[in-house]
Amino acid sequence: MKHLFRALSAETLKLNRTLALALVFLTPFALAFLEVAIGFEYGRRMYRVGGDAWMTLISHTAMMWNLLLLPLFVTLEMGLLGALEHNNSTWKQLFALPLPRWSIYAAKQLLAMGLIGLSMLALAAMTIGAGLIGRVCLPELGFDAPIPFGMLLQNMLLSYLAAWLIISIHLWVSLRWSSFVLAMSVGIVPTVISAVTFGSDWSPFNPWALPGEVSNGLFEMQPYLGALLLGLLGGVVVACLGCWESSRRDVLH
Amino acid sequence: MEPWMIETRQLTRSFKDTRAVDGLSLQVPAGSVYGFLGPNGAGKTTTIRMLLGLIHPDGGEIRLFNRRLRDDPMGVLRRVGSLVESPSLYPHLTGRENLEVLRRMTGGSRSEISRVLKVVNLENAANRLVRNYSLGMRQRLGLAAAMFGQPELLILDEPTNGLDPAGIHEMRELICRLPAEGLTVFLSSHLLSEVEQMVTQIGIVQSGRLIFQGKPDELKARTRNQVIVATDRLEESQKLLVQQGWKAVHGQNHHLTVPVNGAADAALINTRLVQAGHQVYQLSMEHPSLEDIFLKLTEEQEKK
Repeated sequence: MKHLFRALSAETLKLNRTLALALVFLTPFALAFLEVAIGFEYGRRMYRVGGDAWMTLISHTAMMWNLLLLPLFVTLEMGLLGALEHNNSTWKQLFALPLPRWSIYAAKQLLAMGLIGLSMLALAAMTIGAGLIGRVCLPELGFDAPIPFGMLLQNMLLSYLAAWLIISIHLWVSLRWSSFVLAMSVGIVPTVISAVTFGSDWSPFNPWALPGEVSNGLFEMQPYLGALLLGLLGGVVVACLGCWESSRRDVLH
Repeated sequence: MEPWMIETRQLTRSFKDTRAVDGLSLQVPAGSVYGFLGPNGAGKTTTIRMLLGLIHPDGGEIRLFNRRLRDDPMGVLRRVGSLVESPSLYPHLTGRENLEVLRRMTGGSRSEISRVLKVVNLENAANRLVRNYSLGMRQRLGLAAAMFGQPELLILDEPTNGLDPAGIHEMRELICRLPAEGLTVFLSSHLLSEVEQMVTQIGIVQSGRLIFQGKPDELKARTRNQVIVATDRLEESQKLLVQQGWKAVHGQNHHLTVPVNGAADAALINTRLVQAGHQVYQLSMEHPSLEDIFLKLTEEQEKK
């Protein structure tokens, strides 16, 4: 385990001054900013009189995030993590160090999961911030009600766990192949497909739709355990396969 | 048993239909600077990647420090530093941060960072971003990374590649100092002239096969001295010398090249030419440079 902690410590240092780290905060900020703008522009139509403004805000944010932004963000973030090594031809040094290769891969996996988790925590905080702006600037929308912290955090946690599968898939693709275009294509195409086909019979089996399926199930009181387990366990399985494959492959570049 | 730092036995690796390394058996003595030479595409980088466990061989065996690499890769690699082709650096980090990444991974001490920065003379630029480094500075930082953790063996792949003459000179001086610190250096190059002054052992590889291994003097001893002769009637002079048993060859720069055994032969050639009425403008004796021998060897192998 000490190898894993060492590698993880080095991975965090590599994030200094990177776009990958900045995006962790910029992406949720962009969504929260959009929610505030929507509130000012269409607030009276979107937030019904006597309705639960906080739940409306949280569910709207969750749908936008889980169906569209999160898969695209994961795609870009993993692509950037891979490019950090490919662009600088650092695999030949990393894998020649006296560390098991799996520990280097696993450290990247943990870092990737940590970054996505951090961005979702930031999104939760910024969603509250957006609601508080509504409370002050648009008092007629109903944001003076208590903040539903439990629901907000539960939604974030469950959709985060369901996103493990796409995190693992994208990390493996971006670490395995040096092409940034390939890494982006593997994310953008399925994300568009999953957004268009969301709610169909096979949507609960589409890795890119799983966070949205879980989040939607939570808000709509529909079963979501299958999608959650598929996302979570699938993520662990793909991560283990990635560790195994990285230990076997030849480093030619 | 000789304490080989690196020993390979019948090492082989193919890529699709191409045999990149073909039955390579290297022996690198401890404390040496071993020049691993060959033209581009000869299999040097593939060999080096196999020595570092980056590529798996199809066949053969690799032993470092008299231990099989595959039996204990972590234990072996802990004692090896490497610089493969271009240095592996993160340009968005400072020089010191790049070494800190290594320190965190390998668990060395912070003072080790300062030590290697001092060795490569980069102390003053340590806190600058690597993206602002010159090529020579990057190469030196790559060498510092290779030396981090005080390895016993340094494996350097084309360490002078892309450097200007001043950078090459600087790198050469650095590498020459390393054996005094107890390091064995294994370095590859496609130019013998670049490493000639550093190496104590040479291995020449061509088409994945080892065609020479030994000391530079042993390589030199493989060829004879030659006399360079320029006369007023070059064609006739050549005929005369050939008739008398000399292997005179008409060179490109209007002179004859004649392999000889020593100064007495040179004097004899002069006498014979003058006695036959030829005017000798120039007569000098020279030994082919290592680079000439290297080129001749690799060309001969290419023709086979």
